[in-house]
Amino acid sequence: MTLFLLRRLAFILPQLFVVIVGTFVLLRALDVDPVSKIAGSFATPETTAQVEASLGLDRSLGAQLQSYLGGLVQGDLGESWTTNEPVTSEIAKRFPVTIQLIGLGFGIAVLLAIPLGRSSAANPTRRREKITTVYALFAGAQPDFWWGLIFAFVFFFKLGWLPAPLGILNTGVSGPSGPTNFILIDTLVHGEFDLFLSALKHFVLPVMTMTFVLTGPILKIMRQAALDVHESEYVLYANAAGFSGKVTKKMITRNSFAPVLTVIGILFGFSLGGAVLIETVFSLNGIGRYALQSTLNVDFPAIQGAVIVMTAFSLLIYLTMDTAYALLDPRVRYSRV
Amino acid sequence: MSAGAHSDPPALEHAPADAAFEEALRPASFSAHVRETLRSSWLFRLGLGIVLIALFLTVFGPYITPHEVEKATSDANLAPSLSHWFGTDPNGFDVFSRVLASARIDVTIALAATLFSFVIGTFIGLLTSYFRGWPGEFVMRTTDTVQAFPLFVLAIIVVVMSGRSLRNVILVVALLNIPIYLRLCRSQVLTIRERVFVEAAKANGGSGLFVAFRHVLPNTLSPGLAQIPITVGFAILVTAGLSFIGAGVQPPTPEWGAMIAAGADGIVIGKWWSSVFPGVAISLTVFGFAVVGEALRAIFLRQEWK
Amino acid sequence: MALLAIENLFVEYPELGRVNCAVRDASLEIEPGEIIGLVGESGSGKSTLALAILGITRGVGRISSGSVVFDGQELLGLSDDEWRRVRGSKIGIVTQNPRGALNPIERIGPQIQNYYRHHRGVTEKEARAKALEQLELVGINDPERRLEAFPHELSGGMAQRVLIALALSCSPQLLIADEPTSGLDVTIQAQVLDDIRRSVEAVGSGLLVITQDLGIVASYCDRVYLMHAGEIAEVAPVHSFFKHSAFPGTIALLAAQGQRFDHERVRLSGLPVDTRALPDGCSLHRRCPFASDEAGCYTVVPALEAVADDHLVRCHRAGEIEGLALAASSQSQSGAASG
Repeated sequence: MTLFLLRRLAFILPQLFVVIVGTFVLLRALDVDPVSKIAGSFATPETTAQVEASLGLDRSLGAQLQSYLGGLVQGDLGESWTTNEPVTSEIAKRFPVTIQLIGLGFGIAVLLAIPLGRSSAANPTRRREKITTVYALFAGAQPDFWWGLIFAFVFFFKLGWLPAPLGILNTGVSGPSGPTNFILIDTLVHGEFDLFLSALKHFVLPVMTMTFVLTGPILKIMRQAALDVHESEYVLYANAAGFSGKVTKKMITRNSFAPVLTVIGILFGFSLGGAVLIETVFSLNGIGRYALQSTLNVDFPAIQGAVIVMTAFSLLIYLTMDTAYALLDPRVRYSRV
Repeated sequence: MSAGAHSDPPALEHAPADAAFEEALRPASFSAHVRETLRSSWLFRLGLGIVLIALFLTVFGPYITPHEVEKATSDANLAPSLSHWFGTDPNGFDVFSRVLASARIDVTIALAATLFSFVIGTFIGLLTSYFRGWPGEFVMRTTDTVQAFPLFVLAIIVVVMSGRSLRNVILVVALLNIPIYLRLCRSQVLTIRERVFVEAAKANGGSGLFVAFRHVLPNTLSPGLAQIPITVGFAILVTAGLSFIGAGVQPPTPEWGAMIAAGADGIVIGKWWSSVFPGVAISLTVFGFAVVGEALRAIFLRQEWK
Repeated sequence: MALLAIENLFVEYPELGRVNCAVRDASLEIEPGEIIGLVGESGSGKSTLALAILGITRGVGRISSGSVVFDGQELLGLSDDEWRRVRGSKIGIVTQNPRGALNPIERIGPQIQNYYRHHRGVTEKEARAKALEQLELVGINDPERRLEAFPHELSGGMAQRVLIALALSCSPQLLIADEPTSGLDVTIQAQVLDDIRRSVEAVGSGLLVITQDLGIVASYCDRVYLMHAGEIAEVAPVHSFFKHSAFPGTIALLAAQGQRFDHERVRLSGLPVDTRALPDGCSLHRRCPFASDEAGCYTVVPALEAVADDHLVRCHRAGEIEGLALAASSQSQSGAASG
C-alpha cells in the first residue's frame, strides 16, 4: 500500500514540474507584451527598458526559469505585476473561497447522487430510471453561469430570500482575519455566528448552482457503476447462494463506489478551472477570478501562481481519489501505476 | 420460436420483471435500431428535433432574423413585445434576432472543434495503441499531465493572449477535447487488437490481417462517434462560458454566452429577457445534443454485441 | 420420491428483435444420492437450466412455464424469503466462472464464513473453523493463509476449489456443479471430483454435474441427460448412454471424443444450433447425417420417447439409429479403403 502511494507520488512531482515549466514558457511564447501594458503607451525607450528589467524579461528564458524555480522551492511565487503584493498571500486569501464553493457543491451533489444512482440501478425499468436519466442529461447540459443568474433573479430579486450576488458578505462588512482564511471556519473560530450565518447565506446560491449542474454527470456515473455491479457474476452468485436483498444491496454499494471515485476526482479538477464562471456571477473573490483578472492584466507571476496552485491541488485530489480507490478495491493495489 | 414448434407455453402467473423483458426486445440492424428508438422514445425525438433545428439555424439563422443583428434597432432594454419577441438588450439589439444568429457562431465553433479533436484524437490513439511499445505509454502520460492543468483557465489564457479570434477559440476547445477521443480510441484498440489477432492467427496469415483491419476500424470508431454529439454540446458550453467572461467571442458578434453577459447586470434589477433567452437556447441545444449522443451510445453498444 | 423433479420447463430471453427460448420443455429428475450428468454443446442451455432450478436467470430472462419440485416443494413462485431458505442451504451451486463468482473486494475467509453463518447462524469462531475445515476438504494447502487471500490472488483452479468448499459448507441436499473441472489440470480434476463425490455421498445428497467431458460422465454419473439447442434430447443410465445411444448428436459427441470406435465416422456438419434461429421440425436436422423427409425431420418436432426402460430419445428415427450409424461408419471405411 505504501509502495503504491510512493509510486503515485513519485509520478506527481514530474507532472507538476512539467506544468510549472510549461506555463512559464507558454506565457513567454505567446504574443503578448506585458511591458508596454505596464509602461504605458507613452513610455520612452528608457522607461520601457527599465520596466523590462524590473520584470525580469530582459534575461534569457533559462535564467528567468531558474530564478523562478529557485523562489518556488522556498515557497515564493513572486510578486504580482499589478499590485506588487506577494502572489502567495494573494492566492492564500482567495483559494479558500473557491475550495469552499467547490467542496460544498461536490459534497452535496455526491450525497444526493448516491442514493438516487443506487436505486435507479436496482430497478432498471421503472419510471424512476427514466426520470433519473433525463434529469442527469438535462442537468449536465446546463450553462452553470446562466443558472447562477436565474437563481439570483428568482431567490434574490423576486423572492428576497437570499442576499444579493455581491460576494461572500454584505457590502461593507469584512470578515475576520482568522487563522485559516476559510471564512466559514474562521467565523466559527472567532465565535462570530451572525457573520457565519451571513457568509453561509451568501454561499447558498453559488453552491446551489454548482450542485445543480454537478448532479448531472455524477448521477450518470453512479448509476452506470451500480448497473455494472448489478449485472456482475458475483452478484448473481450471491443471489444463487441465498443472500438476502439487504446483504446484496450492501455488497453492490461497496463494490460500485470505487470506480466512481476516479471520475469524481477528474470532475473536481475540471470544476476548479470552471469555477471562475460562478465566481464572476456572484462576485466571489476566488482563485478562478484571480486567474482571469491576472490574464487580462497580463500579470505573469499571478497567472503562474494561480495555475500552479490549482494544478497542485488537482493532482492532490487525484492522488486522494486513487488512494481511496485502492483502499476500497484490493485488485488495484499491486498493479503498476 | 420456430414455426413448426409446440404452441406457446402456458404462462406462469408470477412472471417477474415483464417490463424489462419487453423493453429488451430490440431490433437488430443499426438503421432498424435507430428507427425503433425514434418510434419508442419521445426523448430521442425531442433531442433529434432540437439538433435539427440547431443545424438549420446554423445555416439559415442569419437570413431569417426579423431585425438587424449587429446594429441597434431600438431603444435599449425594452421588454418582450410583439415587435421584439424577446425584447431588446442594453445596447438596443433585438434579442430574438441575435439568439437566432448566434446559433451559427456557437454551433459552428462547436462542430469544427469537435471534428478536429475527434480526428486528431482518434488518429493519435489508433497509431500509438495499435503498435506496442513506448509511444503508447508516452502519449498516455502526456495526456494525464495535460489533464492535470486547470483546463478552463488554460483556455482563458490562450484565447486572451493570442487574440480572441474565432479560430483560436476553435483551436482551444478542440485541444480540450482531444484527450477524450484519444482514450476512447485507445481502450477500444487495445481490446480489439487482442481479440482480432487471435482470430487472424487462426485464419490464414496475410488475409487474416487484412480482415482484421476491416473489423478493427469500425468497432474502434463507434464509441468515438457516439461521443461526438456530447462533445459538441460540451464545446458550446465552453464557448459560451469563455465569451461570458470576456475571453471568447467579441462583441458585436452575436454569441449566446456574450449575450448573457450583456444582460447580466439587468437581471438583478428585473430586466430578465436579455440573459434568459440566450440561456434557454444554450440549455436546449446542449440538451438536445446530449440526448442524441446518449441514444447513439446505447445503439452502438447493442450493435457491438452482435 | 424424487429429490428434484423438473417438468416441462421453459426459460426465455429477450434478444434483439425476438424471444429466445433458451430452454424448452425440459424435464429432469434426480433421486437422493444420485449423480446425474448433464451434457451438451456450448449454448445448449445447460447452465440456464441449472440456474433455473434456483429460480434465477441471467439478466432479463424469465422462467415462463413449467414446474420445479424439490423435496416435495414447488420452487417456482416461492417468495423471496422462502427462496433464501432453499438457495445455498438446501441447493448449492458451483458456477462456471469461480473467480468471478466471488466478491472481488472481500477476502475468501469472510466470504465462506458469511455464507455459512447466513444459513446456519453459528458464532464467528465456529464459522472460521468450518471455513478452514472446508478448505482442507477440497485439498487446499495452508488454509490459514488462503483465508486471507482475495479472489484475484487465487489461480483459477484454486478459486474453483474455494467455491466448491463454499457450496458444500452447508451440506446441501442437492449440489449443482457447472463445469467444476474446466481449467483444472487433469490430475487435479480427478481429485476434485472425488472430493465432491465423497462429500455428497457422506450426506446422501444428489449431485448434478454439468460438463462436456464424457470421461467424467463415464466415471462418476449414474444417469445422463443430453441437451441440444435448449431441449433434452436423450436421457439414459450411463451404460446405455455410452453403449446404446440413440440420438445422433450423442453418437457424434461420443465419436468425436473417441468413445465409440464403431461409430467413428458419424459427424455433425456445420456449426452449433443457435436457439435464436431455430429451424422448423427437429432442431438438429440441418446438421444431422440421418435427417430424412419421410421421417418428418424437417417439419415435425420430435417428442421425447422411450426406446427402452429408462431410456428416452428425441428423434424420429431413434429406432433405426444404431443401424444407420453402423452403416455410415462401414461405408466410409470401405470408401476409404477402395478410394
